[in-house]
Amino acid sequence: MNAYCLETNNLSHSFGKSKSEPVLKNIDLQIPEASIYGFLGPNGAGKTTTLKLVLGLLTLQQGSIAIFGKPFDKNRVDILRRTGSLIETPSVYTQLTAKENLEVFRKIYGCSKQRIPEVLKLVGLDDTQSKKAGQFSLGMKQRLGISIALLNRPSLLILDEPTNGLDPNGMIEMRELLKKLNREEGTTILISSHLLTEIERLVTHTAIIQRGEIRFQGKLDELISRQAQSSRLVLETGNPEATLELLKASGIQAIIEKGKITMPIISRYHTASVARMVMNAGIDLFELGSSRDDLESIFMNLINE
Amino acid sequence: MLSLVNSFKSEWLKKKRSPASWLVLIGGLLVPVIVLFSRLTDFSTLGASNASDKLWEFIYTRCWQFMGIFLLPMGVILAASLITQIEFRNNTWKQLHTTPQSLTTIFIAKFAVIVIMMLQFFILFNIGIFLCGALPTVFIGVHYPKEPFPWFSFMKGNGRFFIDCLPIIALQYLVSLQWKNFLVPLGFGLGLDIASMIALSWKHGYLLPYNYCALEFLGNRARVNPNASVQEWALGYFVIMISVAYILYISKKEKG
Repeated sequence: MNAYCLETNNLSHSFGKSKSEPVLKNIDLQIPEASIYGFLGPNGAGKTTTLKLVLGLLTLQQGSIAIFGKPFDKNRVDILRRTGSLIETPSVYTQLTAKENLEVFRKIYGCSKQRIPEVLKLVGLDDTQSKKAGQFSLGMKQRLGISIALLNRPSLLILDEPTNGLDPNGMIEMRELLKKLNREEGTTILISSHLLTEIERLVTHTAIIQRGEIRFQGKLDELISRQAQSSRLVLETGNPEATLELLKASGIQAIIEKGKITMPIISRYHTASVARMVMNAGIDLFELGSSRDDLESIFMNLINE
Repeated sequence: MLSLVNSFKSEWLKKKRSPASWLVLIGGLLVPVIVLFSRLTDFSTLGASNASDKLWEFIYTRCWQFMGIFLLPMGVILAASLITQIEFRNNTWKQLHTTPQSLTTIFIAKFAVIVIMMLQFFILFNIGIFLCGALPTVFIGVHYPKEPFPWFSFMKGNGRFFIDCLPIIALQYLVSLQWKNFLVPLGFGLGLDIASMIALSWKHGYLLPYNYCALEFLGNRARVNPNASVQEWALGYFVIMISVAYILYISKKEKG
């Protein structure tokens, strides 16, 4: 049995006639069932193009896409029946109310009328009544777009930068809603963003894309372990040069950065022995601490590699 | 079939409060209201004309005179373009194309909405014609028209005008599905309509689909080849254009 809800193989895509510079190069995404998969990358990295290909909004040029274990091109309608999506800016009919917008899609999905107030309540738009969607703020339109994506109780939810236009409170509510859907209904969620901080508390898995290439793909834990590996011990002493000589003489790889000594953290006991060594040498020790790259720095390093 | 019916219902709901729905209402009643107004202002002749055996033919001809030559092709151009504009203007093609329905279903459902709108337009127009004859009885107190309302002949005439519209609907639908900018299908339709009107007296005028409504109204007064059947040409053009529109639509590389 295929454990992946969504899998792409060797996905490449070019725009224009020349096809000289592909915007996507051999993208292999593997999105496990019931995961919340963060698809990260700066603007223009190829996130939306990938998601449009996955949803059949762009014609496939190279590679293959399988969703729910079935090839997308041969099972498009069946797959879309179990998928909800929000791509880029929200798609709403501005002359219609929120309820009417949902009714447009309810007729196609064939879900019950009761589902409309349910999803409106889920996204906090249950009190908009006769207000036309054209009079909504960007955040409200975004919420309506998300409610459309949730209307058919999708097994797979594909959201392209869904927090655009939402205020901080709205972002928190959105995160909680997605977590709840994932936890209670087992919905697999593919969510794209250009901000790691926005989704690091939400996702279980992540992929980082830059210039059309995947730079990292795996569990968020793996990204966090990279963070641990990048941790360094920092010492501020009365005589950095003498401290550096002392440490080098003991075989420790240390450097001076902005007047402070930095070195890899090996263990707690090693840290204690370094402190003892400096103090025994009669050098004043003002500060002993650790520095680590935060996830954002690792993300930035990956996309700047 | 069920998915097509559901898709049609969904498409029909989208045009609620849209310019396309207003166009049908205003376009269908505009000419009859003008004709009614002109009849009411000339009330001295109303009694005689309501007693005439040719009342309905007179009103029908006056109404179709304006409608057939210019307003109907214009209305078709606008209606077909406005329906696809609902998706372009709201940036909703991408959401529509990720719903669980085939592209063929979407294509047919949207086209059906335009066709049904045109039928609505014809029905309103004919109600307007009826009211042109009947309302003076209420306002002025003249006798109700002596001649019975010629339902059958009006339906036949309307049917012919409807067939004449089909190639314009198909061609406008084709163009408006391809271009986001509303001015493109509008300019395209207006340009062809005006060019066709210039060529109305050309003996091969039956080759230009935007002429068919005018040729229908003018009948033998037009100078085109009398052996050419406008309806047959209209149906032929319609089949070709709607097929091309469908092929271009389903083969679009970017669907939203």
